[in-house]
Amino acid sequence: MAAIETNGVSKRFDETHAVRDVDLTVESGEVFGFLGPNGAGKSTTINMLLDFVRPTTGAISILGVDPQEQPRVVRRRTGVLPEGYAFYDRLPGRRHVELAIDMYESDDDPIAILDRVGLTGDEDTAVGTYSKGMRQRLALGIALVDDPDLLILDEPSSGLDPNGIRTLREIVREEADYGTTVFLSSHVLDQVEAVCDRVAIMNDGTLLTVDTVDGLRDTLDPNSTLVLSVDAVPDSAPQRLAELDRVDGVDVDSASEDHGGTISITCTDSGVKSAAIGRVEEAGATVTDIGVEDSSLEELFAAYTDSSSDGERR
Amino acid sequence: MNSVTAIARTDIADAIHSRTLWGATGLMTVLVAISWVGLSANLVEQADTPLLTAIDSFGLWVPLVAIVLGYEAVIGERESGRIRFHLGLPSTRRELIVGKYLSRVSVLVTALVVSTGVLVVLVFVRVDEIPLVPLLSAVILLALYGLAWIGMAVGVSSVVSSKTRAVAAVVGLYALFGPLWGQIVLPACTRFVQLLTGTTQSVDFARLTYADGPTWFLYVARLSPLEAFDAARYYIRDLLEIALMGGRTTAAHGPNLFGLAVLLCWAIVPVALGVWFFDRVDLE
Repeated sequence: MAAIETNGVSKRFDETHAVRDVDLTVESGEVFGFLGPNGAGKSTTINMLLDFVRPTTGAISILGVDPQEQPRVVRRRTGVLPEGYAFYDRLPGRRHVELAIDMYESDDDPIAILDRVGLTGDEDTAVGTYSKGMRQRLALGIALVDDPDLLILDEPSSGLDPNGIRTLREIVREEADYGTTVFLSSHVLDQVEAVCDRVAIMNDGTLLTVDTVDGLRDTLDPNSTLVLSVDAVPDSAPQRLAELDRVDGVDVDSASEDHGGTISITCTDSGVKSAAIGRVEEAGATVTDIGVEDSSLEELFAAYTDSSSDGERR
Repeated sequence: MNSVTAIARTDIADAIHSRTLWGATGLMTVLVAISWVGLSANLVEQADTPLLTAIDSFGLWVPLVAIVLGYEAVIGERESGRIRFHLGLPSTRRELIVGKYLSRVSVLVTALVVSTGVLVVLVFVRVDEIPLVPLLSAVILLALYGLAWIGMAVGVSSVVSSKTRAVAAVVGLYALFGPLWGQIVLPACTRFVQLLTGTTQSVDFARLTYADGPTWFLYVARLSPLEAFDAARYYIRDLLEIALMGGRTTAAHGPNLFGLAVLLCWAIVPVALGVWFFDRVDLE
């Protein structure tokens, strides 16, 4: 059974179509990244999963249950870090976790939860004095109460410092190891890239693609660039390289007095790299360093969302 | 039920930390004490009448305190985003409203009981006796009355889309059932009935009293919780007296029981409608 399944889900607010015909399946046990720029419809989609907002059309199933029919059943098995939440500013962090433990009818230890998210020592301080990052840690801790089967984390890294982001990643990995399904949204890619099995990209209310991080990279931009540092660039090198089938372009930075040259070779297939290195050496150069530049997910993502809003795909 | 009480307990804890509980209790105590001290200055021996008049002063303040306690119970959670914290946990929207309602009612009842307790001490110091029946009946009626106003405020809070609108709506309700009720609503509906029935009897309905009005008037008037409270003060004391000591009352049971039922309805129906509406709304 899928952890999350949506079929043709759309949401219209008055005139605007916030979400359009989204079909999404998140398998049990996977870490799933939900990507898109702000205003792409991610939050509306997540709000529909949590039954904060009702779809105009379409069906949603969370752990096999319709959240609109049985919100309590869904929430009982799900840990949620929502976006735009607030706490009781005058009550301490521990009191919030205790409420969550009460509601889940769990026997978790509030202190252990707070320790896990790095709030040791701040348990009895009023949440009103917490920084944004501490609130986010508290919200994450609350999502972990009662060891949920599914974690829904909406922009979990927002407000976190690098330390907090590391804690978040560790927790996501630990939970995934226990078999928890993790669904997390972000507009920042490197976090998602590091922890997710699969990724969905949403823009302008539409789901653009669902794929693995590697698969996404292949689909979007299969090119990688081989950067060779050489003692000197032989004149015949570009010619020799261009003869290779799967080389798309060659860019040369000639040697000067104080540094050697570099040859950047755009390969449409990574299998051609060793042949390319061979050609450069045949031409008489000594290769001193080899580097490979994969296109970053950030660039791919920008390319994807830009092209979709222009109405043209690559 | 567990979720309801968990939400209510957290909300009460917040009311204690935010001094809302102390504020409401202190305010009501001071108001009723001032009222009693003024009324008992010329007291001869019977404490009943000034005591009841002192308790009447609650009639004005309870709605205002209840409104302040209730108007942002739900919309405040929506505007702040705290509703996302609550509804991310195992609970339903209905449980959230009921939990908030119970919490606000508890705060009001605490304020009522404490301030009445202070009043009891003041009465005892002055007359050396405690008129048990009037006090008990007053607390029961005031609690019901407070429930009615918090019910209205929480109902409004569940339906409106902003705190500003909640304030406007509850102030509107207070104005409607207070000043406008006797001045405009009742005379207007009397004229309307006169028109329908073609009665030529020319009573000045704007200054109509319960005694010389038609019977239906006694019912219509009590639709306002302010009127229902006012009319029930002596009736509920009589009922309690009969229950405890026997005897009988000259009060008409029909309109008086209707008045109590109206208060109960105001305590329940707006919240129920609020739940119905809130269950269907998008929480963005």
